[in-house]
Amino acid sequence: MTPRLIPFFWLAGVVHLLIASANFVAWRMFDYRGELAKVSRTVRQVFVVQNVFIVVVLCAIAGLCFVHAADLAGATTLGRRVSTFLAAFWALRLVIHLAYYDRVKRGQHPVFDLLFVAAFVYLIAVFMLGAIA
Amino acid sequence: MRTFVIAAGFGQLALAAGSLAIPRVLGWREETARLRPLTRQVFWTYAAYIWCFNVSFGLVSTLVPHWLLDEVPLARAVAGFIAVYWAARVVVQFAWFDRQDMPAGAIYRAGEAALVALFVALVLVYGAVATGVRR
Repeated sequence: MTPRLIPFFWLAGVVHLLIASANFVAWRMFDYRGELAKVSRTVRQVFVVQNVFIVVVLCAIAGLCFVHAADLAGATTLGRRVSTFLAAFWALRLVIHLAYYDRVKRGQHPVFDLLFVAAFVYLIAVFMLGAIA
Repeated sequence: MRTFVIAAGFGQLALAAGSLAIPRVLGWREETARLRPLTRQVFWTYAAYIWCFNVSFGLVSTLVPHWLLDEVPLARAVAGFIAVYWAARVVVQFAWFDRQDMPAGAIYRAGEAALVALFVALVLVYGAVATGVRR
């Protein structure tokens, strides 16, 4: 384990909470309510549930970063494996952001776009360091 | 407990396999075509991520159950998280999804009962692991 890594995992926890809170901002920014009026009630409910579950998952990962930072920084084998999984998780999320999400819409919000990319890159780097520690 | 964790893993993998039919059954492609590109992309991305989580829980439980059964706090925390995840799914089933939209018929009722039974079983298994039951 590298004790010097631990504060970086605490910061990763904060980053997860910020990303989770962005889900609430997105509802207004992208007018999800108006958008969802175009689809059936079932799809509308599924979308809301998806959002809730993603927020819950992000908050849970934040909790792991705060409470089990030493494990994630390499203190235990399981911690290194979880860090490996989370590095892959965020790497895939970065690829989706850059290759799949609407470039026109991203271009309309360049600051948010840059912040998201920076957050994803930070999380990938921290979890990769934990995975190989 | 190891047997229960492995069985729970198979349950989640079966659930993930079955849920691949949901987009077709509910017409997600046609429905989401009405949305703006970004909203549609967020919908599919989140759906894919949740599916991947379910598969990940299933794979860890079936292939390396000892990771979850390790006597370390992180293992308990991960098991506890999986228990809360599925408990939330039970709450959503009854408190959020509009039951008027449920298809009628005995086969659908039996399917829903089986689904809820699986969710509850997952909560019990991972909850037991999280609270320290090892035997």
